[in-house]
Amino acid sequence: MEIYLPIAEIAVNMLMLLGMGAAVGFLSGMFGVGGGFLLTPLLIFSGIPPAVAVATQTGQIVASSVSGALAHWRRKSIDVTLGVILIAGGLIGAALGIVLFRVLQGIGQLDLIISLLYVFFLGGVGSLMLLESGRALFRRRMGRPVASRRPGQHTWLHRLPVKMRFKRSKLYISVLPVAGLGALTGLLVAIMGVGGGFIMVPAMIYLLRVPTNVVIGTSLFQIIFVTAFAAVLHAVSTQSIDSVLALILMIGGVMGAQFGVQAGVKLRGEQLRLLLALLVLAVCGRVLYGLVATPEDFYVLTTMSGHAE
Amino acid sequence: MMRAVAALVFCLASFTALPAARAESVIAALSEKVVEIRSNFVGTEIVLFGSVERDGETVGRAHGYDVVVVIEGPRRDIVVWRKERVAGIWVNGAGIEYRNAPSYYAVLSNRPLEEIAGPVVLRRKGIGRDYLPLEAASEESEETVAVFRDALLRRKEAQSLYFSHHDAVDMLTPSLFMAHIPLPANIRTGGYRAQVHVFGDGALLATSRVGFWVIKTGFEAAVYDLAHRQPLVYGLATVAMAFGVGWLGSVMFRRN
Repeated sequence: MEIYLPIAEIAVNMLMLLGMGAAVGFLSGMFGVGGGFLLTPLLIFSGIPPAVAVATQTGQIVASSVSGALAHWRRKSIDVTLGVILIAGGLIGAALGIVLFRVLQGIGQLDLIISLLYVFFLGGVGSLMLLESGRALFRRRMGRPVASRRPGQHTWLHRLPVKMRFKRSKLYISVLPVAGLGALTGLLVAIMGVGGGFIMVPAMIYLLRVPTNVVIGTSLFQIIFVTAFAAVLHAVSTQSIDSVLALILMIGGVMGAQFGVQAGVKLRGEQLRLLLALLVLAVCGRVLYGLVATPEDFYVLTTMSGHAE
Repeated sequence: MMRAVAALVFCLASFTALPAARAESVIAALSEKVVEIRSNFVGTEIVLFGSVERDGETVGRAHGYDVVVVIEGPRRDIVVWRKERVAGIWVNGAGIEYRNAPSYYAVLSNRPLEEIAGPVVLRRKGIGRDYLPLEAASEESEETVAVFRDALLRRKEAQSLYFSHHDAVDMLTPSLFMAHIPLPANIRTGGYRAQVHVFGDGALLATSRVGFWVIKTGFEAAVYDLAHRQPLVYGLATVAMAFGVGWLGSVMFRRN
């Protein structure tokens, strides 16, 4: 069943899009990530122009994050105070990201930078998570207890000024690293079409030492607002959001996410992180292959403004 | 001055038309004046009909008529990038800009172009892959520009937006013909122009022009227009839709 997308200006199979949305939605509900890091490359692999894929994804992620966050809201696993600080940083990052996006598009290097960012972030985060979760699983198998939290342990992050108390996370830390983390993910939201959960979740766990039970809910909570902001900026600035494509992906994604949340509850933290790590590395490998494999044709066409032609 | 130019043009025109003495003319019509793109658009085909008219004094051509239909889509500036390997990664290196390149270029004929007319005529009329005028805005050497030009043609052909079909014009009778014009799903919206050239014994006898529009209609057009005319409203509406779908999904699938 082919459907013509008004902004992407191509016809694609609607059932394939629904299926992609559902599969990625399931995983995003399970792992508490926006799913953009999977869906954006999948869209690009299936022929959607990269600029349209990225911009449309920012809208799509809003929907999947809303339904995911609502599920966490009922379970009271969202730290709103922490989320608000992350959002404040995220909005600034997203605005910077859009500016950068336009500049890269103008000089014909947007697709390359998107791919490189995917390889860099997915590769780095995936490897770290694989090591950490593998070690944790190994320890558990050896019968040693796994300390999910080490209270009283301080890093340089805890010595920064402008401290704030985050009740639900049981944290008393500076807002600077929190807002900084928000800004970094906001930047990635705008350029990569991701929610930034794959950065946010590990950074909250390992750097900020937020308890695992509020990490996923809070991450989804902040993703909603940062991606919504990025989506509006993309609509105004790059005019690349295809709302028909977004709607199809949203419907698939939201349905998948509900089942993903249920599945995620049944798995242990280390197992969840190990699976996510493998998935992240697989996508990274596919994008890397696209960069290093000898292209079929050594020439590509774009319009003057950098859109694929 | 103007008169001199006009006289020169007239001389040239009469010279080029000399073998034919302007005895033939061609009329053509399209099955559709407007091609509408809707949500179920997966490409389409329109039909061009035409007839070669001959005045009473002209005798028929011994080898019959040949018909070449050239269709051009809306023009836009295109940049051709060459991929280069930098540290093992393929990146866009040198780029050459082509101004006002047609987004769509089809050459339909009843037999191979080189059998119909010589290169001089084809070049002058810009008929065919080799003679399509493409204006490169570049300081590069001629060979380099030629390589990039070939790449542009090749990429466009890969997208089915440039093509030459040597058997696409059906000569129903020696003077009556029809041609199917394929329009793939990835065509641009805008004005299209079809030039119908009639050849006889290697000489261009007559040319006629017809045009058609490719437009988005219905929901597709509404979305496209909103996105470009009211981008802020469009963005906010998309986000509102996302909130709605997300909330709906959460309510529908709620399990306690």
